[in-house]
Amino acid sequence: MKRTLHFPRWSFWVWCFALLMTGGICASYVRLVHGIDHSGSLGNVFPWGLITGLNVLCGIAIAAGGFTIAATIYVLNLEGYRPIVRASLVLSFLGYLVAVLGLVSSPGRIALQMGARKSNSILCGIAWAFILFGAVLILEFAPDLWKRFGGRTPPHWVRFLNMPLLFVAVVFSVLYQTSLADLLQSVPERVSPLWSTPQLPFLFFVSAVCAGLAVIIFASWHMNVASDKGLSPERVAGLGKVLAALLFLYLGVRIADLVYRGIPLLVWKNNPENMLLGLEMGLILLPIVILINERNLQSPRMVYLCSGMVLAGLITNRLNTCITSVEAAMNSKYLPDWNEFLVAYSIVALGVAAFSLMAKRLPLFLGP
Amino acid sequence: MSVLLVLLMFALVMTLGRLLKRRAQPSTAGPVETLPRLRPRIETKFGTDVPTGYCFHPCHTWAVDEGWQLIRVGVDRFAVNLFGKIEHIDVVGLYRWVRQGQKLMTITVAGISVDLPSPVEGALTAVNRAALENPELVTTDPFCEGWIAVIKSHCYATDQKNLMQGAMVAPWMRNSIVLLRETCSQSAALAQDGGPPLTGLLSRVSTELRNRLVKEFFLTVPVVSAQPTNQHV
Repeated sequence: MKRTLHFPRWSFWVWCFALLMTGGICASYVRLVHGIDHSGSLGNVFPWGLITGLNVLCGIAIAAGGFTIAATIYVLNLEGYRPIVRASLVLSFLGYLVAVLGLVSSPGRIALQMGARKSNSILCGIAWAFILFGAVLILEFAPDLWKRFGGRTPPHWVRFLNMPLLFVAVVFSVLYQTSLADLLQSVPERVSPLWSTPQLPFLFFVSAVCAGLAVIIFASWHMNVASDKGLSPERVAGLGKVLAALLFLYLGVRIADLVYRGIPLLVWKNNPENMLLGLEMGLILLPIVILINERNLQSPRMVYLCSGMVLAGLITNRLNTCITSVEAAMNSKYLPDWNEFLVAYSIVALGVAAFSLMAKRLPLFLGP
Repeated sequence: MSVLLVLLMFALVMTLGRLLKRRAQPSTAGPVETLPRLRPRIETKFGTDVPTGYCFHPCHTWAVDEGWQLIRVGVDRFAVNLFGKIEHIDVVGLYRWVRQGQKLMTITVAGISVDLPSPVEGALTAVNRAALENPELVTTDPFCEGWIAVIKSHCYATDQKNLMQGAMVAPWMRNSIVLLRETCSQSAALAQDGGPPLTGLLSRVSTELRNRLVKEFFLTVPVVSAQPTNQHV
């Protein structure tokens, strides 16, 4: 019998994803076998590179932000925003997933830390938040899963367990956000004063909540374009208002902190780090200017554009904190290796693919 | 500079995605009907047609499973009789996602527009351009040539539970006719023998009664339409 070989008819993006994942797995293998100093630009000068900046810091920011949003809606009983709870929990979980994969890809880090009983370890906090968060997510979707497998109503303990777990997870996520900032401040001579500030824990936390809101708006837009299953324009406008207020708070504290520490004089110098700080500030200021206008708030496209700018601002901020500030302080240059690029982008691609799969299968936004 | 590199990479992916999406957007100018149509077995009960194997939404839209998760949808005979001469049919955009009970089409008749819901949830994959250009097809043959759209639905089994089907259809149709008769008892819109309603009842009754009928049978409020547009999809 004649046999013919059939290749699956994948779309362009599925092929890109498959190639990226293959490259990412190979690069991770090289990193795990040969160590980070033989497979990237990292070393004693730059211990935190692209993977830590993009996957770990950004992933954790989005995760902590989503978590805080979900807890705030539960605590204040904001029924109007109840539809975004599930989406924020899913996005937070994926943020953690990206962060944990970023950590796992660096040999000898989280695998050892997760098992160790070190109450003062940041990684231990992340691991606990990740585990608790997984439990919260399962409990949140328990009623749907219960019904799918033939049950009528889930048992009461499901709702009863959800709240305390969520609170403990929020405490962990806030604590390690501040711990990460403290860790950066513990080596002030290796970090530029533009990003090393006593207010860093607070700034990290506020920017994480902004990122959480922005990523919900961003995801909702794409879900609306794909299947009309996202949020209604009224709800997007409401989120846009809250986002503008939080961005204003963040920018106010950031500028006040720079002024208080006498940094503006430093900013006027024509350095790459000053330009990148300007870019970071611009990506926060522009959405505020746009979202202040009520007419722009009524346009989901404008709010979506602003959410994109906020996310770009968050990435710039975290990479600046992690890479640019060290470059400025140590007067050296860092360019990520191909290996690091492959690992970092394959982890991001995995997070995006997981979200699109969950968006197709699960009711993420309850109601319009 | 690695920051700029990362931002540029994301910008590139977003732009590429947008370009590819624009290229993949199918043209709505050409014919979109590709599925063969099978003539259903139709029984006449209580003066109205009841096709076998069709499921009905309470707002008088029908759905029939054609396999491969494709559901053909249209308007039933009762609604068509009530409407009479249809002036214009507007269907929501091609490839749009509609939920069960969400607006699928707008039918303009006697100067008013009535929104009709989708009987199933899914993506609109085809529309009957012939019916949109010549709404008389819907009036003459609502269950076969006058179909409105094809929806690709992943959850038809679930949606079906909310639809009238099988033995339920005939009594439901009879109830609709009885209800219509009671609502119109004050007017002379019914046939002398009290049988099936006259064709085009909506255009023959007073505005108040017309609004009441639309609200009763299509669960919506009619809108006085301006000039009909030609933007079908």
